Amino acid sequence: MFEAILSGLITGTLYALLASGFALVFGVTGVFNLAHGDLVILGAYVGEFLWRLAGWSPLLAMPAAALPAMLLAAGARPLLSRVGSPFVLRSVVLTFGASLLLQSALQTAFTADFRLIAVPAWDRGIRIFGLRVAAGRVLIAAMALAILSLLHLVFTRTFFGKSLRAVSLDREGAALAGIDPARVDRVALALGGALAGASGPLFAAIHSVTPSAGIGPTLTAIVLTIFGGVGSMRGLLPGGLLLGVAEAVAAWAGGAMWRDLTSLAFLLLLLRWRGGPQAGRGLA
Amino acid sequence: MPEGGSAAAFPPARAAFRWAGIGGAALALGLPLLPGQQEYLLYLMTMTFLFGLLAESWSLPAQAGLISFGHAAFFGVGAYGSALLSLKLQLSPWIGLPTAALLASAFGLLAAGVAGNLTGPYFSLATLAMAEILRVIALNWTTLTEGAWGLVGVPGLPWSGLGARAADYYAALLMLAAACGASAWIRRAPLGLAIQAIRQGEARAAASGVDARRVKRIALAVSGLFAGGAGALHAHIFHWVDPASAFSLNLSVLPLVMALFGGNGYLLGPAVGALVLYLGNELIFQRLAPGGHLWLYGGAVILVILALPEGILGWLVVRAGLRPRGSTP
Repeated sequence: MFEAILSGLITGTLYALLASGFALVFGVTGVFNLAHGDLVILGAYVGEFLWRLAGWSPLLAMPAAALPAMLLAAGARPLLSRVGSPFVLRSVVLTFGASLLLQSALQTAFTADFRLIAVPAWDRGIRIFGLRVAAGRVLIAAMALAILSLLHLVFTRTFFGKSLRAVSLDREGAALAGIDPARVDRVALALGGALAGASGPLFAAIHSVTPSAGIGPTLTAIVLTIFGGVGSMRGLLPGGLLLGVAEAVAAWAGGAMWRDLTSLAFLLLLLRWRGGPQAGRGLA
Repeated sequence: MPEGGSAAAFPPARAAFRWAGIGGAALALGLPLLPGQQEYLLYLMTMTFLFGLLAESWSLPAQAGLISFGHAAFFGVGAYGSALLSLKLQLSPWIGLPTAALLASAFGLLAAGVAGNLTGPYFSLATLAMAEILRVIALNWTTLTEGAWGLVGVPGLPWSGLGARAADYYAALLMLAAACGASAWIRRAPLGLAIQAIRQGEARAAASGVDARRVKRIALAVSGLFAGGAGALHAHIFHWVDPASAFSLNLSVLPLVMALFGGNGYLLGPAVGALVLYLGNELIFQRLAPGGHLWLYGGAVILVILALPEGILGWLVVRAGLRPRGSTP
């Protein structure tokens, strides 16, 4: 039971990292990016490729995994400006199409086989509070926490972070204050894509991935984004921890089927509570 | 077909659309009677009608702004419902199929209850979650559904006097015609106006006396009826149902792609989208890039959103001069 909770906390930190790029892009640009999970999987394949061919550790592969996802996300910006109204709905359908294309591309490039980054040294067990966990999972959680803390600092302490938040709260107001919303959009898309790609190798070190596995991280990101209050970054970590623990405990008590049902039920309940038309905006 | 303002100025184009429709219907009715070996052609057209039916059913709530990402839920309820009724209760498919469609319709009411007040992408996500939940249940409730193995030995349609292929073909054609007929009727009825009003602005619609929740309930129930019918028919055509295929994400993707590609604002747009995309995939795309259907569907969606906001039918109608550019169908 306690081991399940600890394992859930670790997965939950990774969930928060998976969701951060999605929440950032949605908060700033209003794009509900259904291809987010596919960018994560793209990063996962890059990490797996580097690990298998050159023996790179997933941590080392993260910048390399971030790059293609970042370029793809930033390259989508001119397409998004062509999307008519209603913008959110149409951008959902557009990114849905992008998700299908990305899945096909991944399948062509990497075949449909299951891939997992299984670093032998990461399987060594260590003890935390008397509970046994794999060393690699602790590393993953630590890395995710480090990135999330860094993001928090950027959002709260730098002018750039403040301009992101300003645009997410009020586009026109930010423009009046001298911030160029189009430029902020570009940066948010690139940063969001980079975050998705960078979390890929960590994801592949825990889960085996296939080209169509993107739906999982996408749903997780959506659940956490809605949980945190749409557009809020601060709620991601508590939401991730809660979801991770709930899933782990459900799987521990009732089998793997309940892990999936837990996150889906979470999503439906959250939508009923918070997903109304009044859902707030604003990145904080 | 839309009532275009400039229609009178271009009667030949309007007549061309009408004759294309009449010719297509005659060809569809007579196809199985033509001489020659045409099992494969009949199978292709049966599947086209089936996807057309699914796309038409998707389109009705979509016109009220309810974009479903989980139409596989209706399809799967219909498929499992009819398969179980024939296998466990030995009911004839002629009773099982409509009963299963009604079951899916009831699920539409449930979906409206759970997600009817959600707007935009939140509704879409809720439907996606519902389809996934049903899939996980079908996978794990092994005493009823045989789990991942699925139900095998579902009987075919007992339509004596016709070959099995022709029976499936006419059943699919009939159900597609029924769905189009229902849609055409709804478009002319006050309900159709209410649906349009809700899409254009729910608050304004409500202010002018439209009961939005009731309209959405009806739209989802009718949609569930036809999507469930498509699922039930699929089970009887293939004699088999399993969770991965009956609740597959593909079945949620396809109606959306087909309806938007064909032109969701037009009565026959979803069916035309199914015709072009399904046949294009089976006859052309599969030979160039086997297994690459996602390239086609992904590309089609992106093309529609960026370049053809009213689908190919909308593009054709504007090109033919039946409706001025920029007006709504």
